[in-house]
Amino acid sequence: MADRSDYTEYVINRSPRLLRVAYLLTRDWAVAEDLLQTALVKVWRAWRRVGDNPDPYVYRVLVNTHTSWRKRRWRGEIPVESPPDTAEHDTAINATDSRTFLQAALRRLPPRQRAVVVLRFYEDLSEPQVAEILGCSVGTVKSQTSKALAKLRIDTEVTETVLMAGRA
Amino acid sequence: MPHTIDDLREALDEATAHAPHNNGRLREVRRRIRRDGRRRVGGGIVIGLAAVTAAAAIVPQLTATGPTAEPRIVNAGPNSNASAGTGDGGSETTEPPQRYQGMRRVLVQRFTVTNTKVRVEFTPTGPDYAITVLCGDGYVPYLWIGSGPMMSGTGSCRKAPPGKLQFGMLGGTFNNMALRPGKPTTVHAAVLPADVEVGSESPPADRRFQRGIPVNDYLATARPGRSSWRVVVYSGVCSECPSVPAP
Repeated sequence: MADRSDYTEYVINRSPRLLRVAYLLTRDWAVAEDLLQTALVKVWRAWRRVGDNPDPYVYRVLVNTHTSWRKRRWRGEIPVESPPDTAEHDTAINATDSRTFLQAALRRLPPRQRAVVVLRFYEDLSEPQVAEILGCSVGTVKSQTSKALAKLRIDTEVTETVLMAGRA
Repeated sequence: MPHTIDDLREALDEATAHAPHNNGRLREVRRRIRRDGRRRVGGGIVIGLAAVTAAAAIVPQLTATGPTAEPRIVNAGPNSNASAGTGDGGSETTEPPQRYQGMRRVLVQRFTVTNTKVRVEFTPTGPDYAITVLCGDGYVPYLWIGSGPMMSGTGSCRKAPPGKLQFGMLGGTFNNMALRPGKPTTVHAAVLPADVEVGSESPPADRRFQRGIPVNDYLATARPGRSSWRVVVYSGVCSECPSVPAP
């Protein structure tokens, strides 16, 4: 049975990696830190029941907490003094552009598909593991993965947006 | 342009390459855990108090035996010589009226123990006030306002006309009680059985003039009884007082 010292050790060792997962879900480091700490507090309340491998439970709390935040938090425009920098596109599309496209497309994915992509291809979890974390069937994970990958490859709207920004 | 899974992995790694380092994360998590625990305990206390309050409000009504056990409105004001007023207590109800002769209700406090002096506190909102005790049949209320002398109701709750504030003794006469708006005022109250012959607050210097048992002596020796009663305080400007002279 897990105890307090295990929890402390877990937070110290695993929180840097979990913060990255939280960032890929939220795309904001400050929100990611808040999400991670909120999730860790929730995990502490259930720590005795978590067992020897807390990761699946922690991932699940992260994803569910992020989903609930998205439902209730305001996500409107934030006024800034100056417009943000745009990407330089003096040359043809290269590898960096490719990753820029991918990151823009990732940002546009629905939260559930983004969670599937992060868990499958960033944390390298198997489809059954992702299904257990998300509380759905393996078939649902497969279909969500397929849809997400399709969007990442042929998201023409994102491509055109970036290209137009480069021409401006 | 099609991308490969490796491109996706590289994009994910690159996006998280510059993660900020937070040395105080464990400390912050612990603080959040403590705060969360306090909030949960506080929430539990609030829920518990709400349940106890609800039970306290419901149980006396459930245990009342018939209509005669309903509290009735009796004024136990400080000036028993004041003229009787018509009162605007309205119909008989367990809920005291929100206003009385133009003054707003500022306090309602329920008690279930008789033969015991209790303490309430209110802050006057104007120069005038009225303190009313709602008690069951066969009891007489007694009041001590601030450091003033004892005041008793001029009759038991049983004798009061149902649903009426019998004595409208409000107005300028209360100004000499030295209650100041905004200054918290303490009121002690007790409800005694009507068949107890209570005399002065304390034994008079000459015992020959003593009538009945001094109330403080009685309260010191009597066993507490059980009956539901309430103290209701109105404060403000008594715009409808019969005794207020016209400006």
